[in-house]
Amino acid sequence: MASSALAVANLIAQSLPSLVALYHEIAQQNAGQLPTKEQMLAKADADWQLVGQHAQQAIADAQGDTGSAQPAS
Amino acid sequence: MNRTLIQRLVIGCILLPLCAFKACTQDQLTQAAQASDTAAQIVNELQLTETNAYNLQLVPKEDHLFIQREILALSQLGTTTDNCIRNAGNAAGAVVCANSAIDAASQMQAEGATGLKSTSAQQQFALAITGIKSVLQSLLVTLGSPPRPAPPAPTPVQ
Repeated sequence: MASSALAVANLIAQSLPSLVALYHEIAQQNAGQLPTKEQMLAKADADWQLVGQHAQQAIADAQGDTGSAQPAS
Repeated sequence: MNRTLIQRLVIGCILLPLCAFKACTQDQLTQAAQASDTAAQIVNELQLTETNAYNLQLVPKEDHLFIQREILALSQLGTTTDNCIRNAGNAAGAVVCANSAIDAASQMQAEGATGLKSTSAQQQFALAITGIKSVLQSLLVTLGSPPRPAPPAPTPVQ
């Protein structure tokens, strides 16, 4: 009984390094998929800029003066 | 000795997946940036919805112009907030950015309540601003700063 418990424990111990490596790999993959602060800010800036450009265009269109629409820089 | 090993295995098997799947590396300033992007998407939805309503003649021209000018101001507020987050060194700095954005959004909400004539435009605008403020208030909770009490809601002009 005690010897089989020891065998199980040894088996688990042998598989521990690969288990840890697997979890480490998953963690790295997740970290790689997550955007950094700068990446997220760049996306937010681009989205805000697009919203601003559309608003400028909509204002110009409504005023009947499409020639005055200027994309936000 | 074997018991200790098994205990460590059990603890490792529980803690490691938690760390791997819980996005341990995502910091609070990244969450602040994500909140700004979510707010931008809300404003984008407002813009699409309002423009469609205007094209269907459900919103008068003056309300359309009012909302698009507010959207333009919101886009500038968003960029300003992004720069604020970019320069914030820690969560406390991001809290200041979020609170400033909430104050500005509240001001716009009040302007919309008094400046918009049609009920449809009022509802669309109020919904979008409420959504933006909710995102920012959720961010405050994430940053460990409880949202401040909301000021009295502006009364719409009929």
